[in-house]
Amino acid sequence: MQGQARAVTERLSSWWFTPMPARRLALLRIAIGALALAYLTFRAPNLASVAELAPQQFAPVGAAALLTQPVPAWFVRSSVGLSIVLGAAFTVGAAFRVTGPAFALLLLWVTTYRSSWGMVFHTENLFTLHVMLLAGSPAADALSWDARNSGRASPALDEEDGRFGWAIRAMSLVTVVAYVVAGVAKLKLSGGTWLGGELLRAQIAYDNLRKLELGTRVSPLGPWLVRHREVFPALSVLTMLVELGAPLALVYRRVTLPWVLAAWSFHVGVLLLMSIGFFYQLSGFAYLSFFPLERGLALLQRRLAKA
Amino acid sequence: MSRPLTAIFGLAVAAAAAAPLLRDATHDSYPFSTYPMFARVLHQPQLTFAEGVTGSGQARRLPPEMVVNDEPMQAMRTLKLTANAGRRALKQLCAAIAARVAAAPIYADVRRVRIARARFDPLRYFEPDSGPQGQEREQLVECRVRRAR
Repeated sequence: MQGQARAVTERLSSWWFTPMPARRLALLRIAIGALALAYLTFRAPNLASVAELAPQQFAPVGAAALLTQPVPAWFVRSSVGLSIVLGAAFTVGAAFRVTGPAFALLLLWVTTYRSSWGMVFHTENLFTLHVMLLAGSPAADALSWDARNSGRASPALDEEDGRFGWAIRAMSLVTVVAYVVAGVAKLKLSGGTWLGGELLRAQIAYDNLRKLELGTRVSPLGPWLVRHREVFPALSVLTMLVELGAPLALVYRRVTLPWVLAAWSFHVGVLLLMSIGFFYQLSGFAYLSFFPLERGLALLQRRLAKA
Repeated sequence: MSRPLTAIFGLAVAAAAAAPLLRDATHDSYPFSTYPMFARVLHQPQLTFAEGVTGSGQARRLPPEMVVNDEPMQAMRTLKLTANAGRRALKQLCAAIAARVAAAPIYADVRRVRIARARFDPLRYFEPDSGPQGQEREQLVECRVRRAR
């Protein structure tokens, strides 16, 4: 029994600390950091606008639950501004030991505060968690300002070590967990009814209805599709397969790409039917940790060199 | 970080992401969410909205930017929470919306702002023979749009 437990622990540990190249982790830092930076920059007015909401609407969640009242408007605006500066430092890997964790914590604060006004947003969770994992890893040991200017020996770009691999494993694990939690929530809140399709149909109809009644434009596809109830059982089952089937993408390499494509297609469907943009997933960046990015980059470099 | 510490940190984040599985799915949080989106059964939901009323009495919906910001769901929640908070809060929100309307040239013909709510049947709303009709419509507050002359 003890021997079996030890064998399982060793297997899990070797999976968690799978040697992976420094370059792959660095590319994840650069890609996700750049996307986070672009997001913060373009959404800065919206992120800062919560400072103008009525204090009685303040309903803190997560870490913000420590607050008994809203913070001053200048603090909100400063936080958003500083997050952009730190996001740039994170992306280029400058003073990463400080800027990495600082950016992750500030991003967590800015996005948590945004969700503390009666509406919990779900479009920023995954990329915030991925940034946190990157911040706690040696993601700037390669392809970074620090690596170039530190004066100490950097790892070879292709050096493979478990100290780079764990963060990439953790990112993929957190991605899979998010989908499973979403699938379980549907079953918890509505049981098997969800698989019948009518609930999904009503949710899509309601989402479009409320946007129209709130004076915004919607894609015509959602209102059109809700009139065809026969497609919804299949859509419900497919949604559940993507969500509850996510762990298979971690366990079986052959399932990874099909699952990623299915998950991405799910988000395209959500955008087309409900005009809800999960930007991180739609960009594809949410799934980068599943793939050997450095090989894709090497292929691109070879093609460009030939051209 | 040492290997044991990195393992603890990474696993802690993953465990925290999975922890919502153990709590009531309606108790949402951030960033460790239960992701309850699109999961609830709907029973003729009630929706609160803001309208701009012209001098001739025509009403048109005011978009989220006039209510609070460009985020539709934040605007929806703001309207709903304010409606539940009572008349004083509604008057304040109405005045705030009216000030934004006054500053927006596209709404130059709007004389009054009205906040109302109604119940809707989401599926019948998009049926060709039913159309977008709200039921049990209730006007909550109305206020004037004041413009500098």
